[in-house]
Amino acid sequence: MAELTPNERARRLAAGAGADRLPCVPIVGNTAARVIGCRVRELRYDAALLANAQVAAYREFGYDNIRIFTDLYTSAEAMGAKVYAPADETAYLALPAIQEPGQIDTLRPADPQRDGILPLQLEALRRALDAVGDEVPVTAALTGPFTVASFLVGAETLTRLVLRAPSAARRLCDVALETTLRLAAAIMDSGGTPSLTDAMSSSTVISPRTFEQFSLPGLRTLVEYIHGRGKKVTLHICGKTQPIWPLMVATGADCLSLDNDASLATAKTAVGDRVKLMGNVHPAAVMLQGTPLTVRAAVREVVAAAGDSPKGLIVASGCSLPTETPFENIRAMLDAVREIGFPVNRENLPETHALAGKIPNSKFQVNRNTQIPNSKPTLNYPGAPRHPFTEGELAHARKFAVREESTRTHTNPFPTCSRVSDSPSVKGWPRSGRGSSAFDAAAHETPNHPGAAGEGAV
Amino acid sequence: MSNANNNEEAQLHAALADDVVAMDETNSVGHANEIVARQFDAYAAIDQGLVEGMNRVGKLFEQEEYFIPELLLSSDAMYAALDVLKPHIRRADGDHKPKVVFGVVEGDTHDIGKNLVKIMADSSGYEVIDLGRDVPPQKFVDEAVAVGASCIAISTLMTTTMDAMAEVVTILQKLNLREKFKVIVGGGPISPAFAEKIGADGYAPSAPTAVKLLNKLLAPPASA
Ligand code: B12
Ligand SMILES: [Zn+2]
Repeated sequence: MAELTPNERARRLAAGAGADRLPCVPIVGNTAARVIGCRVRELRYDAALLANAQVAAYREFGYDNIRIFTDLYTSAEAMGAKVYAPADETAYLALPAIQEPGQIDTLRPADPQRDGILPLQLEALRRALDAVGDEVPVTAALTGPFTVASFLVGAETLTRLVLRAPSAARRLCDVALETTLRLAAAIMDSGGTPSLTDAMSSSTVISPRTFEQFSLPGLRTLVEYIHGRGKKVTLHICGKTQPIWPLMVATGADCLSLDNDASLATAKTAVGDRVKLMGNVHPAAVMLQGTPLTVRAAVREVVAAAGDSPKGLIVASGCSLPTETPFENIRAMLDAVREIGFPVNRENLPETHALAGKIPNSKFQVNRNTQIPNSKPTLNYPGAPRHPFTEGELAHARKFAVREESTRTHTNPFPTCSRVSDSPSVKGWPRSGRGSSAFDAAAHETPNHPGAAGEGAV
Repeated sequence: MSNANNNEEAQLHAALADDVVAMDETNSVGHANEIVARQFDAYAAIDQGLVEGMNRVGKLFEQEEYFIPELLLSSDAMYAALDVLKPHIRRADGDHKPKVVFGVVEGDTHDIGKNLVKIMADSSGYEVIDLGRDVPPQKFVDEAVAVGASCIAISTLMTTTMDAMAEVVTILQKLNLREKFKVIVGGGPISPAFAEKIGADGYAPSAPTAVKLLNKLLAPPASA
């Protein structure tokens, strides 16, 4: 079969009509600057250049999804956080929007048409769609509300708030959600698809219970909204995620993008019948530091682990690629996927993992009392689109949550947490100069944690 | 001191440890005040109460029962009680805290892990000089010399910044200072093999093991 366009490939795979190969997405972020020979910072402030770079990278490598992305901080910046953009490296957070939790109520949701560099990101999205939208899905990164909240108040402050003052944390997550809903709306108004990325929700950082209370509601609202407008959506979370796979599925996301801390063989068995999987070649150890040979071997392992996942697999890097990833390794990824072809011929792939077939045993059990929120997204800025999902869709989501519960027992792995109440005094806030103040004061970094593959690809 | 007193002191130590594990700052301060009021030994209360509690928290973290929010709140309860107890430590104890100069290498701003190691080392009787994140290699050396540190500890979570760790060791060698300081490294992509390759003295995969490593490399600290 001749090489299909990504859109054709996605359509055929979705229809069960066969294709030339599996979809493949090396998550190219600021590496795109290297493709057109500009500096990383220029992409952040020049929409035409950002679109050119992303389109050129797509043309260079022929992967299955373009993602408009410069860094994780664009939403938080549009709400008042300060970003530092080094000349030729990915930008990072210089200062959160507010310095103490008492200021949460001064935060206002951003207007994507006006605030920060969001208008530039939207313009880049439209330009890329104009250029190649008929052949490849074009998505725009959408940082998840919990991660945005961490950039608004400082990551360490937020992680303390979730236990000490849950209602304050919730108000913060709500205002972050409002911004992300508006951005999601603007992305879809432009013809693109949001691609969710939420590093701070990782089980490397917060507990599954905290995820359930603070990350899940916002993500679910966003996914419901995106679905209501007829788009499919990918959710990327890096680091450990196995304990929250059922909850990531409960967000309603169509595709989970997992990094190398996760086993795709295990994910296939646990949730592969409900969501598409995407991952998880190591972005640094393999893509940056490896050779075309090690890339090929890693791709074959990924396909051996989950190439037969019931809802499908997108061969991808586990997280966005480091800027200096060698082009030959990106090419090698696509070549390895082409070589495997479709349907996947398992014969010459490595042995599948011993784990396959076993249900992972997560200490966290989905809470019997998990409520699917009745509330619908509140898009209350002028000209906001009406949220379009129906009672039927909500009922479906609720049924799903019930199904989830019935197969699991409820245990509370955090008995002591219940002692921390939402004390009105919120004593000792903020705790500067303690433990780790650097964290609050300035910065938490620069990420690129990409979401990835959105619609067509999903 | 009477047996009854001994018993009550031990109970207060146990209560302090529980307060830390329960992330209960109000109770930890209350129990610390009781220690002071009853004129029990402050150092023993830190060692057998607070440090014991943080050790248990560290274990819960390793077992994935506790996560970063829980760890931070436990450390708040620990620090609050420490503030009460510290002024009552008998002099000689307070003096010889080994100094550890600690930071995240240049180019990397992930600092959650560094902060956790710092908290555990603090609570185990080391004086940690925190250089923050994005720290140039030369600065580790300059600071260590300036404060008379026993150890330089370096953290990174990114493969792309690992080489800056090696540079710290190289600078030390060039300046003929290598023998003056222990150097330890840690963070996601770091391995014992990498530590050995760059000529560091040790590696540890977690905050509690980082403290064990410090204890092994430096004489066990005299006090908290
Ligand atoms: C949370 C997170 C973030 C947060 C960081 C918030 C903060 N203030 O720290 C945000 C969202 C801001 C972020 C940003 C970025 N991130 Co990030 N992030 C993570 C994530 C999900 C968890 C990291 C974490 O906090 N772990 C929890 C702590 C407690 O663990 P730890 O740091 O390992 O520390 C423990 C031990 O290692 C040890 N230890 C640590 N230091 C030391 C030191 C010594 C001396 C010793 C003895 C022990 C020791 O003790 C600690 C406690 O037990 C990881 C995923 C993962 N797999 O880890 C990615 C990850 C680390 N990030 C990654 C990347 C690439 C980035 C970005 C560059 C993205 C981008 N391209 O823009 C930026 C960073 C920019 C920069 N220049 O710094 C990559 C790194 C890849 C690599 N190997 O190079 C990872 C691995 C994700 C991935 N799969 O690719 N990230
Ligand atoms: Zn990631």
